[in-house]
Amino acid sequence: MIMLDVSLPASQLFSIGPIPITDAMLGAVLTTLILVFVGVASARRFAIIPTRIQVLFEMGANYFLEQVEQAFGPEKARTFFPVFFTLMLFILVANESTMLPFVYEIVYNGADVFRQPTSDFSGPIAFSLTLVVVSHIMAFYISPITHLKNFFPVGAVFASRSVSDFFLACIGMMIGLLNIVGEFAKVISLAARLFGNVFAGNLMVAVIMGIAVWMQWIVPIPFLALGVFSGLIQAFVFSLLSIQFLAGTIEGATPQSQEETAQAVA
Amino acid sequence: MGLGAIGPGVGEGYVGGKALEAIGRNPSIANKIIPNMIVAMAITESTAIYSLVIALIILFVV
Repeated sequence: MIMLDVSLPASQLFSIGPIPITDAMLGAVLTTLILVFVGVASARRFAIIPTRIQVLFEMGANYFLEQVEQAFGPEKARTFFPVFFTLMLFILVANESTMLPFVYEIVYNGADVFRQPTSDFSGPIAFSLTLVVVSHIMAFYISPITHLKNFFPVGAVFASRSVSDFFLACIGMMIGLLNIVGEFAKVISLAARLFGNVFAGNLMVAVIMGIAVWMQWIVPIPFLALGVFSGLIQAFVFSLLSIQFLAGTIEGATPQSQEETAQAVA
Repeated sequence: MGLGAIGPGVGEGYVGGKALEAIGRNPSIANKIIPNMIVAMAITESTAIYSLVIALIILFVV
């Protein structure tokens, strides 16, 4: 029986001033380097007649652009597309980088130097927190009053003319408070989904390898394959859900759409 | 963890079954259904993942 070497928090390697540098942060740097390298290497030879790798990138980008267009509409899609595609590429490369040979085995002072940034809870939390905060800033920028109205629908209380109207307005206030809770739940649910899948995949491989020495060669392969597959799916799901959330928040803050819904209700 | 996995088990079976039903009715749109099915499954799975995360936190942190 081999001892399991699994730790939920990222282990600290060294610190630059007050900032502790963990292995997951180095993993994020590694992921970024891979992305930059592949990006530069493939963009150098962009042409009208595409090379194979260019076709691959363009297929992925096209498919993704369609999804963004469905959520935001064709005009805004071009503006928002880079955010989500970068996010997806980063998560994808981070998830699949376990396939790099030897990189994750480098040990410094008894701790791994690299770790997948998505298998540390801080990573996914950072992604989802950034997205939700950015969505609120954007919505606030578009129309502050309409955006705040989604959470504190005070206007309906003063506009109510009868007792039943007043009760409905109070229920609206409660729903607004629930929306605030929902925004926090969004951050946690997005992050926990990604983190849970990636970490569970790693943990499963570690457990299988820990059963016996002879199980370290052939037996983990299906579980590794499962991890690769779920890493792809989770990168896709994370970015799709963040598109939906961002589109929903921005839709809700656009005054015009509110009037439309009000008309639809009336 | 086991309790949390019951719901997604039922839900994923339902998603997969309905997707197969749809493919059976109209096999030509299978390519459109399967990505949507996988995304829906991954979302359905999330409650199981939450319970897994909580189990992991109880195991390794608390």
